[in-house]
Amino acid sequence: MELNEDGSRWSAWRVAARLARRDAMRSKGRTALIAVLVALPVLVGAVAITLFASATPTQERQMNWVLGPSAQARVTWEGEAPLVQGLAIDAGRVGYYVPDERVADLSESLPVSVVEERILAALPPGSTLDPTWTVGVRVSGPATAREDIRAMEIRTDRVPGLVTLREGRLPESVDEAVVAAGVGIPVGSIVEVAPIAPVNVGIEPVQLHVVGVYDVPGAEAGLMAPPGAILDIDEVGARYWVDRPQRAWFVDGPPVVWRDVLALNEVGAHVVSRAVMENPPPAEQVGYHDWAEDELSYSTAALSIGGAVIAFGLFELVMLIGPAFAVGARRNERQLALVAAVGGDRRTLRRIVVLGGVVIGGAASVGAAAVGVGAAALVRMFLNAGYAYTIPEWDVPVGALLALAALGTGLAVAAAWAPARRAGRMDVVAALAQRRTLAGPRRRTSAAGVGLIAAGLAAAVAGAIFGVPALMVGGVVSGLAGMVMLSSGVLVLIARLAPWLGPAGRYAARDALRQHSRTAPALAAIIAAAAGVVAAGTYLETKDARDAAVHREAVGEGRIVVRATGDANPAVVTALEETLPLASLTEARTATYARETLTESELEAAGWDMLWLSVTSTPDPERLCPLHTDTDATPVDMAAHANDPRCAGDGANGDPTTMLPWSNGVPTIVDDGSLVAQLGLAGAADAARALREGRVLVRDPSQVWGDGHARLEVTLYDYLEDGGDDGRTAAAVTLPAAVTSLPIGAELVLPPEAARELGLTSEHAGYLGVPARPITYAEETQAREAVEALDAETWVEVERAYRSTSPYYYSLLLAAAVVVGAGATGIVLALSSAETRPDMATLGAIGAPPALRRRVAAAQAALVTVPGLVLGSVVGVAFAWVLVLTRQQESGGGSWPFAVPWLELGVMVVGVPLVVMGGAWLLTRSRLPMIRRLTD
Amino acid sequence: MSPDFDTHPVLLRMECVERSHGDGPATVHALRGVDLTVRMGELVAVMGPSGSGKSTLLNLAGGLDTPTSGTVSLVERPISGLDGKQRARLRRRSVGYVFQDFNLIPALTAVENVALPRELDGLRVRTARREALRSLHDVGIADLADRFPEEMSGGQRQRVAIARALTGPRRLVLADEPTGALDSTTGEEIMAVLRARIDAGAAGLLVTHEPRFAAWADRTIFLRDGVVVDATQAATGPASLLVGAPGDGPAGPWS
Repeated sequence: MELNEDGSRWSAWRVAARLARRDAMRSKGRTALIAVLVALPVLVGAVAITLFASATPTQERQMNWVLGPSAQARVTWEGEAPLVQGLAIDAGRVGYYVPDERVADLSESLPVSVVEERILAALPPGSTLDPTWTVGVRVSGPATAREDIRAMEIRTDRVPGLVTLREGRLPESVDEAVVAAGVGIPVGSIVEVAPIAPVNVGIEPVQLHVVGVYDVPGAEAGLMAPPGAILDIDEVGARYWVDRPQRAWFVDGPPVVWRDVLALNEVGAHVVSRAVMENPPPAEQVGYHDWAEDELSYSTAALSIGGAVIAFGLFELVMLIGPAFAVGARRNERQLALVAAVGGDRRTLRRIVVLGGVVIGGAASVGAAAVGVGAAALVRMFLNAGYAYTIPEWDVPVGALLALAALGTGLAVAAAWAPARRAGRMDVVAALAQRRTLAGPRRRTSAAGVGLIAAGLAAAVAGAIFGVPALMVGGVVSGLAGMVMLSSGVLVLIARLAPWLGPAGRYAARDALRQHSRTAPALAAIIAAAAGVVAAGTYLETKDARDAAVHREAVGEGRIVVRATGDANPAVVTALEETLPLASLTEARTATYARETLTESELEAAGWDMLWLSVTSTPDPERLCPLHTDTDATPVDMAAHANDPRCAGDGANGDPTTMLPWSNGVPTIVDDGSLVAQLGLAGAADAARALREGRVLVRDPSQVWGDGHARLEVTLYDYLEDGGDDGRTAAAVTLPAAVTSLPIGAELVLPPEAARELGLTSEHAGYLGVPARPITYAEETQAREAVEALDAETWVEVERAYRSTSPYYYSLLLAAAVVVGAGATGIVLALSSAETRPDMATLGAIGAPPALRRRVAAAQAALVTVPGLVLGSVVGVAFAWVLVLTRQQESGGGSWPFAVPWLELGVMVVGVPLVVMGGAWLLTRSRLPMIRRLTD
Repeated sequence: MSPDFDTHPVLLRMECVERSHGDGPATVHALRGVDLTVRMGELVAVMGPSGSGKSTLLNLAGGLDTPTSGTVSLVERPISGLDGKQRARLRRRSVGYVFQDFNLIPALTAVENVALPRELDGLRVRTARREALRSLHDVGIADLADRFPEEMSGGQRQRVAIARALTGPRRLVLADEPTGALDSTTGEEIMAVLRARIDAGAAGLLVTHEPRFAAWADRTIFLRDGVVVDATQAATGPASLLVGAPGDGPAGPWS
């Protein structure tokens, strides 16, 4: 009997694949279940990555949006200071920084012709410049008045290269313009265009005819008009303005290479150059790299949480798909045994089951990826119909999609893995004789599960403490794997309860154990879901507890804080009085230098807003805790000062986490007691009295010397003169002082007479309002909008008690728990219905009531959900503890308490099983099958 | 009519084979010291009441099961020492099973079912299919090659199973009640097919509890409680049935 050896090794694979494929086709319900579970995440992922790839324009595309089809480069002048630029184009320009900001601020007044000369000198010979100015404008039309439009003066022939004309034509004279579709002004309108403040001083608005509407890819300009249509750049550029027009030039002629770019940087211009984009310099020659060019860096906690969430999600899917393969392999047991009888070995049997995963998972993944690309195309079409170029490009990231499809296939294969291994181990003789071969769970598997959970937790804790995300994620993954292995052991324990349960419960408990290959993954899925939900919930609760603990009111609850810069505006007071029920409104003032005390150069610096003031209070060395200054303090020293009142606190009245809201910028408040009296905080009355008595308020007791006075010093820093290096001590005065516990930050509150003695005066900083009744959020919003309309720099806020946002998240988490619980239970019940049918028939034959079937379904639901949720909660709390530990490590200490949301946890552990059991009860048919069928 | 097989090569040899399940007082002895030889061209029937060890004998013969003691040799090669993989290869290349029912894999067509062992053995699809078609032709149903099992009658399905059992280099059929699920006419047809295939150059071990089918065999052995209690050179052919009613044991018309 000569054996045939001429076969190819793929034949066995092929026949296994054929069997797997035909099985998938024959068991349509089971195949559909697996396919949906695999396809959904792949579909969502495919839509997301396709849209993301399409919405992210390539550098080449971005360059063309900036340069159009013909220009060699676009040079933007920022000022006389040399700058250092990067290469990556983002939103129409490259990133840069100016090493010496001071020069940049002072060099705005150069006439354009001088700037052009300097730029031309830096460019290769033969280059020509074509200016283009961009300025923020107010556009008022028949039905529009917008202040957020960037207008671009540009030669008309360049327009078609930068944008796509959707409607109308290009401007032909200086009184015509084209607008972006998003601005919403129709062709034929006449609009009034004027630069917005402060550029508009001395500039008359111009009337422009809108002759065309365009789609703008780079989102650069909302309005384009020929040069000279809106402003005279020399007149505007000669002033120093915060929101100055951008001066840029298109460069035609020879290519602008990196050497030219560096030369242009020296004259204060940055460049987008075609030649440089096409032939970039080595990275070490580029002085500026913005974050987009660098590797993305995230915190350990964010990485760990992200990794853990993804691991949880994938694990959930594998566990939900697993039972379908387990049941499939069991139903096909006889068929697999036949394959063994005709000469298939264990590997062949395993292959058939695993290839089932490849076939279904692969088809579902590839299909879902393809549908996802189609769906992304539809979404893009829909988005672009409103505003073209929301997603300008169409880029199908084939590599990423293939990887996604591979991941989807991998999910199904992973789910088929355990059933495949069991199929390989099956008793062929018993299966051929159609005897049920139900191997019980192995004890050593459960033991290994416990070991893995312990090891996983240890690894996660170690990862949290030492800040190694990989270790943390690895710990979580191994914990999850441990749970899967343990879940069969849990079923064994549940089955031990069977004798004490009623008939339905007893049947369900024993059946769960007998069919553990089907039940255990569902149980594991619920454990994991509960663990995830509880971990997230506990983390939220902890974060909440922390936020509440560190929340400090800067003013009394319900008080209104108005923060302003610049001079007091009576219209603001009127607006506040009109929109809010005010009992009182007190002005807040902060300390500033009196101009008459300044030197000439300081006066000039003050004019440029480059003079800084600091008021400090020197502590009494006698009153300082010696330990606070002695860095070599030994435990003996510490013991010596254990009862020293100076060392009781941290040197101040606790760590101030807030400051009086007006004390930003120049953090010294000037008040005669009237503002502080209205603060509505404990200690405010005493503090106000002290101010009325002419005493200075400090927070740190050591700043009040033995004579009851504080040593105050005023220092002026002239940034114009020497960059603020050496301050000038303008005054040093000793004044009576008082300690307060008010949240005034580390600085001071001066009574007006003290300010005068220090050579200081005060300026308007806002108001403190006391409401006549509690203010609603609607009123707050109304007041804010009213004030903002008058002055964009003024801010209104009502002090509120700490409000947790967690309840919303809890609802979401609870919903997730219900969905996974119901899904896993539903899968178990659906897959088990065919197998319990003969048993139900037997029960029916011996007189069981019809409701028994429902009771069994409810019991089956309870048996997976209750232990699943309880165990999951325990694991979840443990994981949350690891997360909190990570946070504690990152924040360097105990500011992260650990809080478990017990109430929500209880609701979940009791409520979710009730919901799922109710669902199982309602959705199960109560009629018992009467005919017993034995065929497979 | 009974030929002399002594000179033919031995395909299956079982020597002193024992098979017991469980241990201690609960031990069940399925087979006890069974000796059996099947030679080329020979069809041996195994008869006996339920639980006598017939199916165990067949499982041991094909390497699906391993004896507790004794040796089983296929083509003079002991299979006791072989691992699972080697025994699977043996089933692909040397022996074929025919069961009472559910012989065929429902997801595969007739020709694919027959080609299955050859494809598992690594043969190219086309070659395996060609061989399978020849086997189907030999059992008279080449025209049903592309039908799925549920599209065929019980008798046709058993023919496919016989074709599969003897496809490629396989020369030993192990048939477990192959006619058990068939009506008597079809059963006779299947026995005729089996006999013809064996006469064309193979051997067979047939488990049956119906003497009229055992009568197709060259000889019959009787098992009771795992022991061969009798063996006979059967008068072959259905005509022997006319001699007398079959007894429930060795005390039949053949003794």
